[in-house]
Amino acid sequence: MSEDPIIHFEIRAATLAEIKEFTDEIQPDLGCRAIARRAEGGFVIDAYLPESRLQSSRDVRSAANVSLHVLENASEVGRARQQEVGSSNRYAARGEIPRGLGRKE
Amino acid sequence: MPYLNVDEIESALENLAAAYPDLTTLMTAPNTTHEGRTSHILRLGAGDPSADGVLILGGMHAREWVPPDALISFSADLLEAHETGTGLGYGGAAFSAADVSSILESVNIFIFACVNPDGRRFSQASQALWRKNRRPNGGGGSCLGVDINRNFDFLWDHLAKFAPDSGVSASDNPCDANVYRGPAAGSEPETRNVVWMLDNTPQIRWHMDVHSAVPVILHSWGSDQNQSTQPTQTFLNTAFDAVRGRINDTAYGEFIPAEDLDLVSSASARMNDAVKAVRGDNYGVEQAFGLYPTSGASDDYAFARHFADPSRSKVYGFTVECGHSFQPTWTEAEEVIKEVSAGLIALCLEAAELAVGSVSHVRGKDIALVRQTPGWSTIPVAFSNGTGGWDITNGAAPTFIGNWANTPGVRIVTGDFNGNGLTDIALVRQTPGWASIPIAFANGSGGWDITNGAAPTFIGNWANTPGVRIVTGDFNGNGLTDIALVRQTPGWASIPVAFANGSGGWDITNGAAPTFIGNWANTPGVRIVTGDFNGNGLTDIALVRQTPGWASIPVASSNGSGGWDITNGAAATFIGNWANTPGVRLTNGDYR
Repeated sequence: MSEDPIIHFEIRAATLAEIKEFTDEIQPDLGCRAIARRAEGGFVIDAYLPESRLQSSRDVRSAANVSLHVLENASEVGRARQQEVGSSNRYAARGEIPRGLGRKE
Repeated sequence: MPYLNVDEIESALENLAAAYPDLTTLMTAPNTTHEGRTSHILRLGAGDPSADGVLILGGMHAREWVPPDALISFSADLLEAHETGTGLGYGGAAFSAADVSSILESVNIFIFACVNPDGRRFSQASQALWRKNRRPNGGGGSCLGVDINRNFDFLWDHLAKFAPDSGVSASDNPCDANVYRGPAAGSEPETRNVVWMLDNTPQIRWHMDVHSAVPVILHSWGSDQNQSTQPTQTFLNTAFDAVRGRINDTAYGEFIPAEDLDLVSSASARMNDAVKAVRGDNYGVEQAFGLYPTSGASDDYAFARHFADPSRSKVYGFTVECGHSFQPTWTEAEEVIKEVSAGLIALCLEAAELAVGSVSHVRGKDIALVRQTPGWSTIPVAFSNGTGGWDITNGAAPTFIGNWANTPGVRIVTGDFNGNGLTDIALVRQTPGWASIPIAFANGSGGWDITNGAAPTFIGNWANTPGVRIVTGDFNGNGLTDIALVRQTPGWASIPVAFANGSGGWDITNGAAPTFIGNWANTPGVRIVTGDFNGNGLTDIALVRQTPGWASIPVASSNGSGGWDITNGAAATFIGNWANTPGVRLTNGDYR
């Protein structure tokens, strides 16, 4: 069985109402909080949907007032990032003191 | 340096606590997770433990991998910078050593780096986009887990508390992959651990929940659009349950006092300025109510507590949604970590400036001002006249203050370095670059005589070693203050001393104390206490452990010539049971 990957995409529209009308209709994952940002020509919000639902969302009634831009295949990115997780414990020895990324100046 | 896993987060907190025992307390959260994990919270603070607190949360949503790593980095930065007397820089954002000192001396920072370790483990090892915890709900797949950030007791029952058409971001369906609110408010151990912090740490005044990604900085409220003119329209008023949460309506707005809105808005703007200075990314500031309301979120819960029960402290709640992706490349994650760190320092500076009850305890009867940023060339003193009045002087010390005292990493050490009965001021640098210890000798009438005696190895090599603490005392009994270095990280087996010779010079020794320093002093939770423990007129050094595991108090007794005699006397109940009780502070003196 093949996975339906989660796609990270942007919803752009001239007004917040147009974005909301679309998100009301397609019910995407909007992350922690549904915060739209001002962007050139209006507003933009990030959203996540399985690829099949993203395809069908382009045909809903309110889709005419928004533009959708795919940013990444979040499922694929996630699998890649799992390779960047520490596999042991770099701080197992008590003398291993974490150091931050700030410049000490 | 890849992302931290959950074991590394816990070990990192433990190691920071061990390396900086005077600046930290490691607290154990009382509720284990559904998979049996125990979480810890690291308190950072160099001042009064009861001073105002800033609670900072990370890792509440499992798939947001950057926040816990950012909080470990932020903690390590603040501790190292305070220990070595430096400032901190993140891209184009810069904070002075005085900023770092102001934060840690004025407020307590409580770092809860990974609230939801079960979820993070599952996200990092199995399903990367998993958001909830791992509560067994009786089903598999997405039917597991609760969204911790919909589980707090703030309008938790979204079906009853919001207008049906509000679109509130929560669900009562256990199989909702993202926003299942849980079977009851506060049902989750992870939620209860945060509540426990707020219940048991009443000095907490600020609450920051670090999430990703949008990016944006959010302040109260998340339940409806803010208004400051209708005080009856609050989350407590059930009369508005049927209309709460609609966007752009006139039936209801969540009441926030104007002064609170001003404060959270200005603090958010200050954070945003700091974030933007790092690399130009303008996160922006918004009210947490966006297109839809939110129920059961931690920031609203923290702020709401005072309004629900005025006997509770008012806690200002914020959320930062950092970066542009849940799981950016590690290279990009490092840049986001810098942004988060800069924003958190700005928040902590705001908290420090508004902190109440900050007290400096003065020894002696006069007060001197030593500036450690450029711009002065004098040391002002307020001499107490004994009847409540003060005689003010402003004696010149141009090179000492104008050039040396503001060098990064310099610590001020006071004592009587020439035995004339007056307090003098020495500068000990704990970053590389010096080979001497300058002293400003008080002349008794507000003036200062400056020396700069050589101590090349002591300062140039030893004092700037990580984990070294400065300890003063009269280690040879000649009536002059001497300076010792006690290392509390592994690698040494001796205690160096710079003995004052009375005229600004220093005689250096490096007496062996292999077990005392090499094994005991670097044990987690050990604090250094000085005193004349054998009554021979010489200052000795004791180690008091305030975490479980010891039943004795080791002492390095000075032999007067730079050597040390080590004892390890039993104090079974005192150390083994009492000293490690939460909230216990050491006070030494003559009690018999």
